[in-house]
Amino acid sequence: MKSTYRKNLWRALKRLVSDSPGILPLAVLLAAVEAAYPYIEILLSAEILNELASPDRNRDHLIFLALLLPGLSCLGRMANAFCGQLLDVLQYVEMKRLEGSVAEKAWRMDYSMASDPVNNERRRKLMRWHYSRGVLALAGQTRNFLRACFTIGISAVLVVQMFAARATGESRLSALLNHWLAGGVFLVLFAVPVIYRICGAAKMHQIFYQLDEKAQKPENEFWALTEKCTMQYQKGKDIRLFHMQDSVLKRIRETGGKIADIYETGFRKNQRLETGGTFLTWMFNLFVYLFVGLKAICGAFGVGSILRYTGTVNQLGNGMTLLFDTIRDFVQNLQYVDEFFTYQDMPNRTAEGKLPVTQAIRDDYVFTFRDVTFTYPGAAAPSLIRLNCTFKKGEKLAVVGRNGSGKTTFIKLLCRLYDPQEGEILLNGVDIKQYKYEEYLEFFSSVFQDYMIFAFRLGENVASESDYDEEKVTQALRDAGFGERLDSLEKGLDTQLFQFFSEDGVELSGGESQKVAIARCLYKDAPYVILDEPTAALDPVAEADIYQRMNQFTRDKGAIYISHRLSSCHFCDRILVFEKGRIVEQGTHDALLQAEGQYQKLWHAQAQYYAEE
Amino acid sequence: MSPVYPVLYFMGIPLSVGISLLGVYMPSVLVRDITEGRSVETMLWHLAFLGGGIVGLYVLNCWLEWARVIKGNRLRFKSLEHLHQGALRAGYEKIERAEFPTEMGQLQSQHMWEETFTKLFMEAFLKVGTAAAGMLLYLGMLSGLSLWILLPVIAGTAFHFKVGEYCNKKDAENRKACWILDNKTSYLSRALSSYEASKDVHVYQMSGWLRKLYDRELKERIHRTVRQQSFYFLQGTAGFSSQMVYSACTYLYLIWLVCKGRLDAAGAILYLNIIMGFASWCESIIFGMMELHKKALQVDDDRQFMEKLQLDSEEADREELILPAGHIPEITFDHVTFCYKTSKEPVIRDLSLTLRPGENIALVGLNGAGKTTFIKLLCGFYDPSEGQIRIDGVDRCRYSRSSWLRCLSGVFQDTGLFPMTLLENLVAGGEADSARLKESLRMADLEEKIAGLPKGLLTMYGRGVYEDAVEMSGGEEQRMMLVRALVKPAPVLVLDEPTAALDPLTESQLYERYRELSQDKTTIFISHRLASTRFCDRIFLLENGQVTEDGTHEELLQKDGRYAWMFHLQSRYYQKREAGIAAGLDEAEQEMEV
Repeated sequence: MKSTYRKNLWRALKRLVSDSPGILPLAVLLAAVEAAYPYIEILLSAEILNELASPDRNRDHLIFLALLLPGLSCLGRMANAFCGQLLDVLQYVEMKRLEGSVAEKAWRMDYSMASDPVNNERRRKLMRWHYSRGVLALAGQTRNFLRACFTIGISAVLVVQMFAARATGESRLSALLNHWLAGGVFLVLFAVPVIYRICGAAKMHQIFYQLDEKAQKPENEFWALTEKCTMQYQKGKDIRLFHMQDSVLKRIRETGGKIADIYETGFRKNQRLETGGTFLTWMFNLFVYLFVGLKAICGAFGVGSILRYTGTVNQLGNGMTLLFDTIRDFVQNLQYVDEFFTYQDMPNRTAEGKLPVTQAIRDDYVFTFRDVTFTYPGAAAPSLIRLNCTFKKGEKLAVVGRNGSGKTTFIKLLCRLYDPQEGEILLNGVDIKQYKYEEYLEFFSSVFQDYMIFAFRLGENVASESDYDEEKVTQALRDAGFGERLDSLEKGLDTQLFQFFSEDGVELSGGESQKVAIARCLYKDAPYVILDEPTAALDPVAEADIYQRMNQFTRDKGAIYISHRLSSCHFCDRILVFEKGRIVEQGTHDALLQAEGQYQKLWHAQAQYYAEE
Repeated sequence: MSPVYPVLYFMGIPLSVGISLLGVYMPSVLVRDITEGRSVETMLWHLAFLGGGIVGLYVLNCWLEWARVIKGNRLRFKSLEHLHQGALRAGYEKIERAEFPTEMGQLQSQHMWEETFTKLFMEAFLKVGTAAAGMLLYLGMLSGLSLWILLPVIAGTAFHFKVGEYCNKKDAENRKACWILDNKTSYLSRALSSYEASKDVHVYQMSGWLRKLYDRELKERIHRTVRQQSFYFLQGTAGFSSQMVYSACTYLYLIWLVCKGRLDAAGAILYLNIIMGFASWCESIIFGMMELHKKALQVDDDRQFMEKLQLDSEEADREELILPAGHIPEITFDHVTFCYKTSKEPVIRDLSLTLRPGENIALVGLNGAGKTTFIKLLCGFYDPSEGQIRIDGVDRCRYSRSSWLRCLSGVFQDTGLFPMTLLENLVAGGEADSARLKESLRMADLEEKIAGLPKGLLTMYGRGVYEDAVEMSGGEEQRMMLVRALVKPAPVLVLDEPTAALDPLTESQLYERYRELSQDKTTIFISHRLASTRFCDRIFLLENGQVTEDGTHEELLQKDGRYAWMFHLQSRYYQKREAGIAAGLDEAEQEMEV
């Protein structure tokens, strides 16, 4: 066993105990009840039959047994159900807690790691496992292991008793049954189906594990297809306009067929294996009937014991199979436990910063990019190359350039969503990596190009909090130009957005959600404002309105605007022109127009259409 | 559905009854052999006969069960395909409903995880069928015994059923609440931990708050789970206790018979097993019926959903619109009013206009003026509530939707590309007029990008789904959509904000080529960038669902109305004035107040 496995197993158990102290003791109790209660029926019904069959039967004893058996078995079942359901509840709660901590890890994770598809897949895998794998599975395994042990213990005692009962009489049959060879043959025949079942289960487990892995890719494709082509009904316009129904259906059919094929091979193998197992098990059961029946004929025990011993041998077989299955599961599960902790343990590189971002820094600051080069993980070429620039409080920057020139990357680095591979970014002369990350993030209000509005209440979306200052939120929404719409909403700030959870949820248009995103940015009221294409979905009137308000809002702050509508450059003190990851020009609008460079080209491309004759 | 599938279930009935029957007889026969001191040989024969039967039936049954699983596995995807086929072929207005994604999602996951309704239905049917056959058989076998003994069994089962019904009802209410809570927690834990959300979660430092929300929902959910389990426990307890009562009665009755000497031990064990067997048949018949009823309701939901998606009956009778090659139709809106079913206010009010063949039209207006709805009406995704849209003088509603769509092409705002190959994304069926395709790619400046891909147009689109999928920026995606619109040889082209994500140079290139693109077509261009209106022959200004101004750019500027105001607002900063920023701002503030 790898040492990390051992260590993480220990951590997993500790975690289970501390999260839910009842879960393991309950698993032990349940195992005992589960193992014991079938014997109530096996033993008592045999007793009744023995009593009935004997010539000098005791009527009172019979009546006592006839009442005891249903009563006890009812109690046994109830205890079993109660413990089982209680354990289900505890397991469910623990599962949700684990899911919550996986999610929380993702929420807190460095953006550069969170956006890595590998980590995404890891997280999805951890959430898919639920009960069956990982930390929580240990509870189920404890239960199964103990249950198997109890069952084997009880039935072994009874089986020994069965052999101990000697056949009487002088016949050859009795001699044969009493011979040690009979026991040997019995053991061999017992072993055959049990071993077959254990091996078969192991094999099936392996096959299905492989199938799951194999099916994962087409399953992802299937979900993506159905999600993107059908569920997102807006896209249905394109589907219909370009007559894509047939090609989409063809893909759905093919992918579905692929998944079905993969599982079918597994099912077919399982069909053969299980049918074989059923045959062997029942042949052995028949043999037990024969053996027990012959012993009864030879007077080793009464007829009632036929029921007792056939039932017992069955339980013994089940116990053995369960034991081996559980051990196999346990060993395999170590890897999953390990994966859980590996994910949870991933360190945030941003956690290293120690310097506080003091009020003095918030009041007066200078940012410097010094020779910053950055390449996205997996990308061939760098997105920013040896970039140098400085900007300070009160300065408004416009960042312009063609698609893919590195504008968005620039602000991502500024917010420290990524760290540059070369060069450094300084805040008041200190590398931003040195600052406490949470406090550093407090520094920025931003609207990203691909911002997201969440399915919470309107006010919660703006404040990113459930307890918020209503007046301030309302003001932010009004400033973002959402005022009219807000007044039309019956529930005001408490309006649920989107219809994921409730049918009275309100859908927002592109322009409206952009305004909510802007309101969120205003509400945060941080010293530095970053706006990446904040008005792409707005009409000219709303756009002009927003620009004007933004200008007021950022009066004593620093700000960066990115926009393809170059009119926004007018508001800015300085314009940075990006081209292929470098700043090729910077200066005021007028200076740049005179320089006749890239900016002038971009400007004229747009301005020519607005020239008024 | 293949006829084999139900047969697999029908065959299960005699097998299950047979297994149960032999299981009842075997111990009793064995006990009789021993108590009556029959020969070993007789016992061996009995064992071989009955036991052989049992082994055979069990093996067959096991094989059959897996055969059903195998068939069901394939069926599952067939019915999913059927579901999506319905949704894809439905009229657009049928799927642009607020409930659609939820309903569709629920049905999809039910088909996927809880197996198909056909399968669930067949299983319930198998259960009830087996129970009914077994019950009749066992009733016959009980002859010679007083049938009164069945009274506690029946009464007990009825009691269990009643309690079960009550619990089910309570559970159903509870479950609905659970479903919403589950949606909420999984939205938090899954959707919000995704890559798309993480930037905002990160920068606005939401993790602490999200944790609080998660814990709040979870607490409520735990409360619900305990409730749910207590219903199950109540139901279970009712079953256990009624079983206790009737098995005690049965034991006592049989013991009484044996003591009276009317029955031997072997007979007692036979009858015991028969009565217990009868009891379990009773249970499964009643609960099976309940199940069957529930499944029937679900199947009904499924059917209703599909029916809602069906094309209107008229749609099938409508004529096919076939335009001669090269013909550009004249489109007339004649007093068109349109109101979405979910709202009272009309979005388009009494709108009349004519799009003359080959004209380049610009449609402008504020957010919410009705531009997008206008496009939806034009495309025939919706029919007007009042008035007519005429194509060459004939009401559009006379033609089938799909045949009218064949005459249109375009770029919509809230759509995108699909997880298929780039070629399939550009051309339906993936077969392209290659000269046209090449030309369109060149025009959209994508030739280089495509040439740089190892598999060219056969590269998959869809990061995160396909390993070797192409990475595309927002601007590139928008240009891909433009190519798709240009490749389709249709006489009417609709472009709704096709330049929002493009940089000024690319945008301007598009404008320069616009005349070329729009040759031999009627085009409708919607954009918030009013510069685009310059190359259009005519501009319509839409306000509150009505055309309030129309004419050429120059005419409208001269008119000095709303259009001119909007244009000035946007063009102000592009003028070569030296006034500087402050002046511009003051002016803006004044204008805002007006």
